Amino acid sequence: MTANAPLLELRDVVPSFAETGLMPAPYNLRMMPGECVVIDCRDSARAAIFADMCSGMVSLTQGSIRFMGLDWSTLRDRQLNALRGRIGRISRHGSWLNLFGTHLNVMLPQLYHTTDEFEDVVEHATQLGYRFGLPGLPITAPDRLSGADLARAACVRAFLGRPELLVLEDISDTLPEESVLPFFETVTAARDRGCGVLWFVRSPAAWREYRKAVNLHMRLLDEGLFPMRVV
Amino acid sequence: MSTDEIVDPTIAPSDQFRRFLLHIGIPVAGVVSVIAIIAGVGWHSYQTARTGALALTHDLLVSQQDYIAKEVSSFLMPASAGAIVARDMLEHGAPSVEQKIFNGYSSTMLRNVPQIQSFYLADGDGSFSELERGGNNQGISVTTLQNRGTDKATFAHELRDGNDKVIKQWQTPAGNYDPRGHSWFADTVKAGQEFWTHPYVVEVTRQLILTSAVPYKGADDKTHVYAINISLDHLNKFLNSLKIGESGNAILLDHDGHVLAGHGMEETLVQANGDPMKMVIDPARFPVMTKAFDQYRVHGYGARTVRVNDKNYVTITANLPVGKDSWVLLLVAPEDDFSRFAMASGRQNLLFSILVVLMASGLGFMLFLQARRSERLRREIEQSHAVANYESHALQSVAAYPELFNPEDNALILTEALADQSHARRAAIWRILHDGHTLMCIDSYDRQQDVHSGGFEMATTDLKSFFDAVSHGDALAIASAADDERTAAFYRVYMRSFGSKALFCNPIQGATGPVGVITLEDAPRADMVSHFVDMIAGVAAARFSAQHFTAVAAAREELESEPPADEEPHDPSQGFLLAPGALAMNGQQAPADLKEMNGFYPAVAIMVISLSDMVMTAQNDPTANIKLIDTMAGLLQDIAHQCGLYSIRMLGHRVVCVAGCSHTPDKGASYRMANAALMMRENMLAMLAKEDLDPIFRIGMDVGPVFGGMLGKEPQAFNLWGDAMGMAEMMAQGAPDVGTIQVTEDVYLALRQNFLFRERGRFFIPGVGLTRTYVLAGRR
Repeated sequence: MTANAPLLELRDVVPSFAETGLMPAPYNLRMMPGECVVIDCRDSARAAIFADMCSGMVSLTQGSIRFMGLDWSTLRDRQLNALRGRIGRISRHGSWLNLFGTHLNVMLPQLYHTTDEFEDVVEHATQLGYRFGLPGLPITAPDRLSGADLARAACVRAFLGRPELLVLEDISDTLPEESVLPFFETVTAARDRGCGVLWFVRSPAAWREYRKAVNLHMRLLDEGLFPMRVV
Repeated sequence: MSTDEIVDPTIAPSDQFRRFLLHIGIPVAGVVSVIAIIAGVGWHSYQTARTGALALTHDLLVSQQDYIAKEVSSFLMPASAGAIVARDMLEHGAPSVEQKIFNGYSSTMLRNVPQIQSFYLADGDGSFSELERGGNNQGISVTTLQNRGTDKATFAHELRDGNDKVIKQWQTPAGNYDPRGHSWFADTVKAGQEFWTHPYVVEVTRQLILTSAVPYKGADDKTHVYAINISLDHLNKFLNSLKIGESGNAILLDHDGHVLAGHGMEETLVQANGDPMKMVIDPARFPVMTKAFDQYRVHGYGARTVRVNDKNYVTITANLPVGKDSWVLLLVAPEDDFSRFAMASGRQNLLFSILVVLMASGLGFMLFLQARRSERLRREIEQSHAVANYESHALQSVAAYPELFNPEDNALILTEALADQSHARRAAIWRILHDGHTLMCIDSYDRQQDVHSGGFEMATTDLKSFFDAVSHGDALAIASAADDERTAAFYRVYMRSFGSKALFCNPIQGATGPVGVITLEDAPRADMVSHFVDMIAGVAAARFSAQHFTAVAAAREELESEPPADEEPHDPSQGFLLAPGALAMNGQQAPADLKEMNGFYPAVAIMVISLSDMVMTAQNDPTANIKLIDTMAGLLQDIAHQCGLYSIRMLGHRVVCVAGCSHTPDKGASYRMANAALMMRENMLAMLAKEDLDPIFRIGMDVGPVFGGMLGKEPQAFNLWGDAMGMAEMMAQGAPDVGTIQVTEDVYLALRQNFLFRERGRFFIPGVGLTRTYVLAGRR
C-alpha cells in the first residue's frame, strides 16, 4: 500500500441483489487512512450487509472494492483471511461463539492472525476492558453476560491489536453511557495511527458528541449510498 | 503492515510453491527421462547382442558337434572296417594260414591304429587267439588258448618284435576260459553280422573296452568270430581335450543314459565300481548334463538352453550312429562363455550411461539453480520496484510537509520517514553543534513505540572515535556496534539501554563539512535506501543552516533559567472526611497514637466510590458543584458515624472508605461496610435526584489484607496499600452501571447470608487470576 492511497475504496460497486438484498445501484466510497466515515442507516440488517460487503464477504456483479490497495475479488482464501485480520469489527448481531468463554471470543482473531505473545494479548485485552468498564477479561460465555457487558466486550474485540480499519455497527443502545467517552477516545487513538473508521449509526444521537471529528457523513438508503452535508 | 502478522496478504504464497515445483520438476523430469531412454537403449542393445551371440553359439556348437561326430566316426571306423576286411581275408583264406593271416593283418593294424587295443579270433570249437601290444608298447604279444576243455588248459604267450621274430614265450593257466561264453562271441554269432558290444571293463588292464566283432564261416564250415577291441580311453581323452567355449564339456552316452566317454568319465567309473551298466550321470555332480539329457529324452535331438542355479547353459544333443545302434553326443557350455562380450559391452555401455546421467543430473541441477536464481532476481527486481515506488511516495509525503524548512518546527516526519523506509527500530538525526565538540540529538523516533524524543548530548571527549568517524564524512554500516571500536562508546551511551545492535550512520554534509549525522538502529534495509537517507540528510542540512540559534545556547539558557518555586500545598486534614481511628471499633476506643497503627491488617473492608468525571465537569457552576460535593461529604460522614467505619478519605474523584483496620480480623467490618455502601447509595441517589441530576457514582468493595500506617515527617500521612485496595478501586471503576455497587467474590462469600447479590460473571484479572464479581443489590 502506498502512502497516499485510499484505505478503503468502493468504485462503482454493484452488489449481488440475490445475495444481499441491497439495491443493485453503483456504490462509491473513498476513505483515506485516519478518516472517519459515518453512515446513517436505520435498517441495521442493511448496514450489516453493507459492512460485510466492505469486508469482502459479498459477491459483486460489478465494480471493485479495494482495501489497503488490494482488491477483495482477486485474493485467495489465505490472503482474504489475513487481510480481514486487519479489520476490527463491531457486529450488531454479536457474532459470538457461546462454546467458548468471552475472553476467547475477544482474543481469537488476534491469536489467529498474529504472532503476538499470548500474555501481551491478554494484557492488552484486559486494559481495553478496564477502559470500557469491565473489571477484567470476562471468562463467562457470551450468552451469560449482560447486554451492556457484551457491548463492552464487543468494543474490546474490535479495538484489540492494531486494526487498519474499524467497521463499527451501531450498538449505542446497549453500550452504557459511561463507555461512550472511552469509545470515542479509542476511536480517535486508532485514527491517529492511521486506522480508518466506518461507523454505521441508526440515529444522530449516537454520534452527536463526535460530530466535529467525522470526515464524511453518508446515508445508506434503499436507493443506495448518498453523501450528506458534513458539519 | 504489522510485522507480527502470520500471513502477509500482499503475497500469494501458492504461486511461489507452484513455481518452485516447476523449477524442480522440469530438471528432475529431464534427468529421469534421460535415464529411462538410456536404460531402454542399453537393455535393447544388450538383448540384441545376447540374441546374436546365442545364435552364433548355436552355429558354433553345431559345427563343433559335426566335428566331434566325424572324429568319433573316424575313431570307430577302423574297428568296423578292419573287422570286415579281416573277415573277408580269413573267410576266404585256407585254414592252415588262418592264424598267419590273423597275426599278420592284426599286427599291422595294431601298429598303425593307436585306438585299437587288441584282436580276438575264436571259433565254435572254443579255439581262441588274441593279439595285442606288448608291455610298454614294445612288440606284439600273441596269446593262444591251448588244451582247451581240459584241466591243463593254458594260454601260450609269444612276444614278437617288429620283424615278427619271437622274443619271449611263456604260459599262463587258462582255467576254464571259453570264448564262446563271452558276449562278443555269443551275441555276434547270434546276430550273424557285425556287432558292437556294450562297453565293458577288462579286468587285467582296468580299461573300458568296446568290441566290434564279425562272424564268418571258415573253410572248415565252422563259425568263426573276428573281434577288434577298441579302448575308449582314447575317445575319452579326445572328448576331454575338446574346447567348447571357455568351460564347456562334451560327453558321449548311449540311449539309456550310460556314460561312454567324455567329461567326468573317471569319477563315473569309480562311482559305478567298473560296472558299465551302472555308469550313469550323477545328478548331484553334473546337474546341467542331467537336465540336458532329460530334455533330450523328452524333446529329442537339438540345441536348447537350460537354466540351473540361476545360470543359463547352452546344450546340444546329437545322434552318433554306431553300427546298427546309435549314441548320443551331449555338449554343454555356460551361456556366459559366449555372451560375456555382450555383458562386457553392456557394462561398458552402463558406465557411459552413468556418466551421461551424471552430466544430465548436473545440468538439471544447474538448470534448477538458474531458475531459482532468476526467480530470486525477479523477486528482487519486484521488491526494488516496490521500494522505489514506496520511496517516491515517502519522499512526496516529506516534501508535502509544509513546515519542512521551518527551523522552528521539529519536522518529525523526517525521522518517521527514515525509520519507515529503512525498517529501523529507531532513527535519529544528530547535529554537531557550533562548538564542534558536542553532538546533539535533534529528534529520535522509536518506530515500535511510535514516540519521538530528543535533546541528548554527547561530548567529543566521550566519543572521540565515533566523532572522528562521523567527521570523516563516510557512511558506516556496522552489524554489531558494540564490537566496533568506532561505535563502541556510542553503543554504551546511547544504544545499550535501548537494546539495539546494528548501527547505520550517514553524515549530514553542510557547506563546510559534516554538520551532523543520521543514525539508524537495527535497520535491515538501510543499505537499500541509502540514497533516500542521503536526501533526508540534505533536507536536515538545509534545516540546520536555516536555524539562527545554536542548540547549545538554547540548552544553556534552559539550564540557567531558575525553576519556578514549588507551591507548598497544605492539606490540613490530609483529605480525610473521617480521620483514621476517630470512631470506636468493636466497642473499643482506637489507639490515640496513630503510629501504633503501622503494620499489616489481615481483613480490612475497603469501599471506593468513583465519581464520574464527565458529569462533574459538565456542571458549569463551580459554586453549585462545591455545594453539591459538600453536601455529599457531610452525608458520607454521617453514614460513616452511623456504621462505625474506620476512615473516609476523598482523593480527587474517589472516596475511599475503610472498615476493620485492626491487626486481628474484624468479622463485622464487611457487614458494616456493605450497610454503609447501601446507605450511601440510597442517600446519594436521593440527593442527586433532588438536584435533578443523573447518578454520577459507582461503588466498588473488597475485603482482604492490606498494610500501611503513618508515613513521613510532620504532617504525617496515613495510607494503606494492598490487593484489597487495588481490587476495590477496580470494582468501582468497572461497576456495570452508574449507581451500582460491585463487590468481589470474597465480599460475596462473607455477606451472602445477609445481603442480596446478583452475579455479574467470571473475569480474568492479571495478577489475581479467575474471579467472579457480584452486584450488591440490597439487604435480605
